[in-house]
Amino acid sequence: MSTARGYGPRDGEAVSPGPLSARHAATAACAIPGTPLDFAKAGIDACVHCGFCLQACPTYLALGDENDSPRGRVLLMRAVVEGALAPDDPTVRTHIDRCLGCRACETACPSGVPYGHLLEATRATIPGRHPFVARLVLFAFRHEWLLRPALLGGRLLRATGLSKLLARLPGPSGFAMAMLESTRSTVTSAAYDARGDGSRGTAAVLLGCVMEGLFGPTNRATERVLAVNGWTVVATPGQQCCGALHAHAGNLEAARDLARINIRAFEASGAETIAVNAAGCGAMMKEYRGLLAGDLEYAERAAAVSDRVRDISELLALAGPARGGALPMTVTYDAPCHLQHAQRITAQPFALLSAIPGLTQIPLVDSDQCCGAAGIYNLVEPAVSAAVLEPKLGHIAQTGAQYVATGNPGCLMQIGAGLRRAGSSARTVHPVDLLDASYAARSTRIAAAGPTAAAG
Amino acid sequence: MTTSSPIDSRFDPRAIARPPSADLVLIAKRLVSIVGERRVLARPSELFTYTADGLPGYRKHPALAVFPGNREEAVAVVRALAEFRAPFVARGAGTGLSGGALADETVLVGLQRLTKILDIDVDNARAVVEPGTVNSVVSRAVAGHRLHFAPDPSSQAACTIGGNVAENAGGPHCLKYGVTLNHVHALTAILPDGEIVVLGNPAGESDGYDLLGAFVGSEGCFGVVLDVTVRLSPDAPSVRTLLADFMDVDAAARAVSGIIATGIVPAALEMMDNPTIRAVEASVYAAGYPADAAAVLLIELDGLEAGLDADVARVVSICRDAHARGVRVAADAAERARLWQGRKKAFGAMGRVAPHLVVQDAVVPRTQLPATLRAIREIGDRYGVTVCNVFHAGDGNLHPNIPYDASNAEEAERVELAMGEIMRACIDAGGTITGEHGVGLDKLNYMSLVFSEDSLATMCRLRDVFDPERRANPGKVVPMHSCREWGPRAALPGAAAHRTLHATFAADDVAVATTDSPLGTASGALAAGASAASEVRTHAHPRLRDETARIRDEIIAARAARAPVRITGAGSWLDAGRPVVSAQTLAVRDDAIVEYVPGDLTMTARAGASLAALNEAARANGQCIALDPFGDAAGTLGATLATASAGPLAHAFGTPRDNVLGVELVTGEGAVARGGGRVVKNVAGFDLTRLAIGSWGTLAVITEASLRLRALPEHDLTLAIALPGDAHGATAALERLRALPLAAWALEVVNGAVAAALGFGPSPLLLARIAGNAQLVVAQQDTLATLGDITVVDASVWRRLRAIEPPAPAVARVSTLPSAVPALLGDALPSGAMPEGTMLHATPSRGIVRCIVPHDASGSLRRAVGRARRHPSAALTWVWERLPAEQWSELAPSPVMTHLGRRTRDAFDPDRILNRGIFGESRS
Repeated sequence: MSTARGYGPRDGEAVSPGPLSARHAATAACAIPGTPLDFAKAGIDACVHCGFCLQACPTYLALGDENDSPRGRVLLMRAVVEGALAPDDPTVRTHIDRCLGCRACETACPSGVPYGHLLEATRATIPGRHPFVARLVLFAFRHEWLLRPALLGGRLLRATGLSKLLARLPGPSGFAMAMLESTRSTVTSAAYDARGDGSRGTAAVLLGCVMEGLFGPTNRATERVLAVNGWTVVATPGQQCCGALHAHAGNLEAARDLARINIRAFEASGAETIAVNAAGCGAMMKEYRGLLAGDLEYAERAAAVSDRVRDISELLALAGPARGGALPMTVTYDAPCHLQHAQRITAQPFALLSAIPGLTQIPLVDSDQCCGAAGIYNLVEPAVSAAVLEPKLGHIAQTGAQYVATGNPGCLMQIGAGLRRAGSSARTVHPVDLLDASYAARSTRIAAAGPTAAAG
Repeated sequence: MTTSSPIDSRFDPRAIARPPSADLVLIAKRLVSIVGERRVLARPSELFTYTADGLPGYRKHPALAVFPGNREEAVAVVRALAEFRAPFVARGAGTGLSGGALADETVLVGLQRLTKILDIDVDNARAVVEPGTVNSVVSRAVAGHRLHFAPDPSSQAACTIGGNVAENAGGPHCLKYGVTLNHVHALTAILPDGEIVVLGNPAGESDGYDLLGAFVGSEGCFGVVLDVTVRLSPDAPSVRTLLADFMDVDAAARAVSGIIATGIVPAALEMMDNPTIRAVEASVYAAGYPADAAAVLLIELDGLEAGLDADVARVVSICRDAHARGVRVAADAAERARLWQGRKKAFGAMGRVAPHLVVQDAVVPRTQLPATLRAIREIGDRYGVTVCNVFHAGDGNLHPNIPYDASNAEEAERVELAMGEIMRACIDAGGTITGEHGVGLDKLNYMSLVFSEDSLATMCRLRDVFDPERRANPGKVVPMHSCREWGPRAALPGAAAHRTLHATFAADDVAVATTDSPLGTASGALAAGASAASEVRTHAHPRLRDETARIRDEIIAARAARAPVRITGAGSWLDAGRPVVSAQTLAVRDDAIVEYVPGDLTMTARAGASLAALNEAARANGQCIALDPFGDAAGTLGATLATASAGPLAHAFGTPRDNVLGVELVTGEGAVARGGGRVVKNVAGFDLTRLAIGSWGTLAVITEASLRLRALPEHDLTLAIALPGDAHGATAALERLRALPLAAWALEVVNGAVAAALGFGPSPLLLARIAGNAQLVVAQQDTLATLGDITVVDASVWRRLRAIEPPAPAVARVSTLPSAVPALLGDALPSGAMPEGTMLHATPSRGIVRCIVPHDASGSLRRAVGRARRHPSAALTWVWERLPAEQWSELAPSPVMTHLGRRTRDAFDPDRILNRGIFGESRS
């Protein structure tokens, strides 16, 4: 699985034997030796320019310029490697910045171009500064002392209802407030007894920065459904932001620092499994192996942690999951890119939703297409992000569903904000929250119906 | 262009010069004013992405790139470029594999934003789409109606319809369903000079030259498509997908030949060899192909459920006889989709093998497959390169891919030499250089291996009809030096300057090395192995047959004497068409069969041969020619093609344009040219074949043609089904017929007058020819019985129907949308708008009603046509075959009166020597 997508050179990919096998030794001199892109350039060579990725790329579909397509960006990377374009060429910067990093091209690519990895390597190679807002966010996510008050401020805004008011503002700041609004719980579940038999061993939950800060109830729901389905949840103090935002922005060193912190924390927890309910964070943690492959002290430990990481939907699908009580509602599922394309997890979320009686699933057209959230992309490229979101909102409206289920905080906020701003009554929800509500409904029903059933 | 003579308006070499940089700034400003700043790219860094298309290995830098967002902008862009006389290249998704969409210091016009589906007509199974619409998006849009767009190139998830039209794209399923040419009803294009033209007829047949046929496959050299009316095909009711695996490539190739020889036409028949299988299996599209197999065949059979399994059983037994290790039938739609995904993404998966790739697209006769594959393997071994074969085996369309590393000069050189030898092996086997990828830049220098100088120059004439300044996609398809004047006419004064501008092409022998051949490209490969070119020259210059030479000499003499000639074969069509202004006849007499290899299902014959005689030869081998022109049995092949006459078999097999693989012709200037070839799939060069077919001898004398043959079916039954005599009943029955699941060879409706003349009663009939294996025939017989009383009749009824015309009649084909036929026929069959005694017969699926008006009633034709025009069903198009001389001008507008029609005529027969007057033209 990981052969073509690691951070090191590709291994064992050559099919042709004989005298041609020495070909990589003869590759042309690199114009930017020693850079992350230089180390990644074998991935560029895998691209044969077939163009099959074009229709998978949200920015190409929205903008209609091949410079904003995977094939075009790979060609720009190649130009930088070969010296045809300077690493600081504004064209390179613009179009690389404009990539969502959704990696939908990877699931379309017959050649196995490790695009997500190339993108990060390119961002780490080309000089230049991120916009102020991006630098601020990335800084905050590295420093707990800043992040905690920031998220607290967000919760305060939300609690006072101020965000609801400000969400009506035009432009990016209004959209940001609408995003904050859409972190509110959209399903509520009564308390229930979430004890299970513990037969599946121990699980640690990655709490995450945004998830814990703004989607705390979802993290609690995650712990409960894990318990119901047989895991013993163990606490993992000392964990931090997974580093995904930093890696995607090309700040690989910051990502590595955070990865080391988390590796130590999850080693200390002793849990057999690491459960992640944010697709982007899960994808990042599964890639700790590659990220720290060059770190003598951490390489093996990173690999061990990566091996233990599972998306929450993977775990629940493995367990069945246990059926809950009826939730009479219509739900459509939108696949987070980092679940669908980065982790290649497609069927499991449906298994989770199918465990909820009374819930009607409505298929979503192009559910595998990015919503435009892409980490902090919607803050730094609001116009493109909105253009990518627009068809998504149209397809959601076609379903007429009450809820859009998706397992990633960025998508929950982006789609949620889009729906609110468009005046839609549909709301976003994490699938785990639905399952949790279903379990709560079952408990209430059992509690309420118990004596009657006995009498009947 | 206003010039005194059409000849003067031809190529001006200055037009091809690159715009000077000062002009570029002006052009850019102008384009920005049309499409906005964001949609014009001028910085080299922004243009870098557009330096390559789907074929890695070439990089050409556009001077500018412009991306119109709608039709109006596209029109304005082309017109602005016309004002500046700036050369340009149209580009879709850039998935082409011949370097055809590369702009070398010219303006790149990207059409990928023109993605609207303008109309979907489910009832008539057609859709109108803009050129940037992605192929698979069209099929997805109509999937709910159980329809699809049949051409399915492997890049269909990304490539555009505009690109499909430009390249005449094929794909695995074109084995049974045909290429893009067969699936386009009409298109609107803007010519490089800014004129907007409609080619073909979106709602029926079109009169005059088949300029649509010429345009499809013109590789962007004729103009820019604005919209395309595509034909949609019904999804096959039943499908079986088989995977046969072999431990030996030779065995797989033998199985292919065996399947083709049975006459079963699979929907697709694909082969992949071991290196390809392993690359696919390592990818996200892993399909479960056995990784240790030497080759697999992916075979798809489809059609009506009845009899399908019998065909499957036959194919399986052929594979087993050829020592297949295993044959498995896909269990469900999901498995079928997986098997196909693997095949379709195989090209992309080659990137797993090595960073660079050369791709070939040669076609060989299908009996030559085993030997050619052996030769390719031997060549690969000799040069120490890995050849990955993944190709359309059923068509003989090979795609040998050689992955390599371009930065290893020594390896690249070996790859080049190997490629050159492979191409020569294919041509030596009687093949052609490109089956579906197009010539583009990559195969430019191979063109003279398969086409003579005169053929290439004639192709340039065709380009000049559409683009006399040669500004659209300059430097592609036909080597530049071929575009000079030929033979009797002196070279243009500018020709020398032209050559210096494009020193990339050696003047006298393209086989000599060029400066424009990057490592690892086809042209480069040829350059590396130039010495062998002379050996294969024989294919481009077959010995000129005496009869061709005689016809050429007679035309040159007639031209010198300014004495027009009338072309004749058997003389059975002399009373058709407008009166010809000539007493002198030019007889086409040669009736030889030049080549007939039954295993290839192709035949090459001289134009003077009678179709009946050719069919007899085919029949002796269990095959037939699916052409059934009107007239008596003496009618010649040449006349059939020149008139494009097509009878009831066109229901299943199309018209002559769909059955002819290539022609030899002598133009009105006395140039002997060849278009197409002898293999079943061919996109090399501009399409002289389609142009000549249906041109009524006004462009050239067809002297020879290669035909696609069909296997005779196991069972072949002709049925007559009585139709209700009243208008309402007949209409209802014909509506029901449209919805019946049938796979008939012919379905022809005849009115009472025809029925009576054929010896049936005086009521209308449906004549049906159903053919195939026993189950299929029986099932269709049962289906047809739901329409009315059914009688098995003698097959001679078809021959008699084609010769049913009374002496000196007026004959017209009236065409309309198929959905309008039931009401139209229901109205006309019993009472009718046409004069008393008019014979009507119709091919409802094609929307064609043929009217035969007896001589004594032709006086009232004008009124009748007027009445029919007011028929509420739909717009009707009238194409007249025969008319009393005095009525032509009144009823039939001359097809050469259109701008393009006239230019076409003048490009090939400038002095109007051939059949002058037959299209209503005169030498005024």
